[in-house]
Amino acid sequence: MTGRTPGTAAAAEAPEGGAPMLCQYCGKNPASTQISIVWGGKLTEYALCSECAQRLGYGNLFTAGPFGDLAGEFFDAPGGRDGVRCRCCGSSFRDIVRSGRAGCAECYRTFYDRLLPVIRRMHGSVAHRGKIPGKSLPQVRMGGPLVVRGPGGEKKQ
Amino acid sequence: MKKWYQKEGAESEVALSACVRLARNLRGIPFPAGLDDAGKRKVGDKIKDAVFDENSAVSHIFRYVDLESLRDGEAVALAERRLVKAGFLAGRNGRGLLVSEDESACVMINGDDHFLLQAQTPGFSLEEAYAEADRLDTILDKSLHFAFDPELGYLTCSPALLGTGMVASVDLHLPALADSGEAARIAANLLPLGMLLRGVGNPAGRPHGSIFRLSNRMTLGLSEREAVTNLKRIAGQIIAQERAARNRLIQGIAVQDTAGRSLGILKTARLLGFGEFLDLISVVRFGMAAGFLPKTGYGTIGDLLMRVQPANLNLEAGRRLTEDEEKAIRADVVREAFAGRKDGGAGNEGNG
Repeated sequence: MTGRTPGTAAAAEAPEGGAPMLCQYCGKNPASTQISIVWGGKLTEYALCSECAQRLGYGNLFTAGPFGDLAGEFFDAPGGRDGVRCRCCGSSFRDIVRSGRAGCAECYRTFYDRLLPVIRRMHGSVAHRGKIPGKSLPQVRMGGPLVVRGPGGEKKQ
Repeated sequence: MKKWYQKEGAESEVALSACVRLARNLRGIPFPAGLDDAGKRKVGDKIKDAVFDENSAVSHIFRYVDLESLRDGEAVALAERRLVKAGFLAGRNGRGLLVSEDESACVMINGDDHFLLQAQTPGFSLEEAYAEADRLDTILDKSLHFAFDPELGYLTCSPALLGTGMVASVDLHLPALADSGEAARIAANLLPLGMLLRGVGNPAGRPHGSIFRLSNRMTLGLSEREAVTNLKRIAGQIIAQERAARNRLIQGIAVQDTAGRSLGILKTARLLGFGEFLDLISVVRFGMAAGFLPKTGYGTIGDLLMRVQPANLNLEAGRRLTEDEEKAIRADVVREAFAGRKDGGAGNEGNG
């Protein structure tokens, strides 16, 4: 089973005037995320609430979960409603918040200051420590402490 | 040439396969969601030009599949064999797939990101999958110059993949931990560690087959090496727990009876639904690993797990099957796989 990066609330909105669609997993909460799976020889889409989406591994940056409700934080951020658009793809900051996705690689430069706190909160870091293009990846060596980096910073176990 | 899933890997009693995906994007071009079909095709052409250039070191590895030109069933069969993500099939215009002959390596073009490189290996060979993905990435970066920022790493459509852009995963067969409910508890404990354990199958339906996927979620602030090491270590712990739980379970004659009966059904059934097949093969695989059923190679089981999926059966038959025809062909394929293996195993299923 694989799922595309889920859309946010807009993906599972109920028809105008209708009752909100319920999560197809728990059947309790309003659905907020749509996922795709292949099962029974068919492509099927499911609507999940943010809680189930996170638990089942389909959450994204902007759904409530271990990282909190970051979308609300974004909307309230200073400058969240200005008219700045990315020169490469034309995305506004609101477009990124709404979709949970950047429009192009340049968006990260255009909206760097506003994205950085959320990226830090999400990953527990904003410092890439992995592969650098043009250099080969270091060999995997087993052993050594388990390094965990998440909300709250780095822990060794 | 054998497909990767027809081979047997390390720790195959519990580990089914390992997979490493690297998300990459081209500079100066909107991500696929912001491109029209013509824009996506241009991206596809650019990637194909780099891969199939006469000086390319990887041109002999891949063939190109145009997703637009496939029938629905053919496209779904690719997802069943884990060559594309399910979401990749929703809106196939401008999307393409580069795939190696043994299907261990592939590149999804114009999914969420421009370029999603994937390497898969049988068993617990996570480092091998990672080394192959890294090798292909390094080669293709020389001509494609993937979008990268020294601070944020590889720039991906989803901010959740910034940094390494890597999702590594191991598929685990956990019948004993699933049976005791332990798998769900382990999954909850892993979330704060930045790892995810989830059942493979239909989230809205009854689980079948006790197959779980363990994957990393953290991509920024950890190197690929650290992420793989962490994943390997956690997977190793889960494998050890599964083995301990299996040792407790196999003491009971009822479990051995269930496994024996399940094998009997697989060997003799004339109609087999896919969910039923998954439930039975799970118990039989467990019985074989525990030593109270004759061994059929894990490569044979891996092959069945891919081949008897609904869309792949239809593809192999070359026509749209009715439900009963599909069940009948699945039963035939499974019976044939188990026939002639009374000698205690298909011992020729090594990595060669």
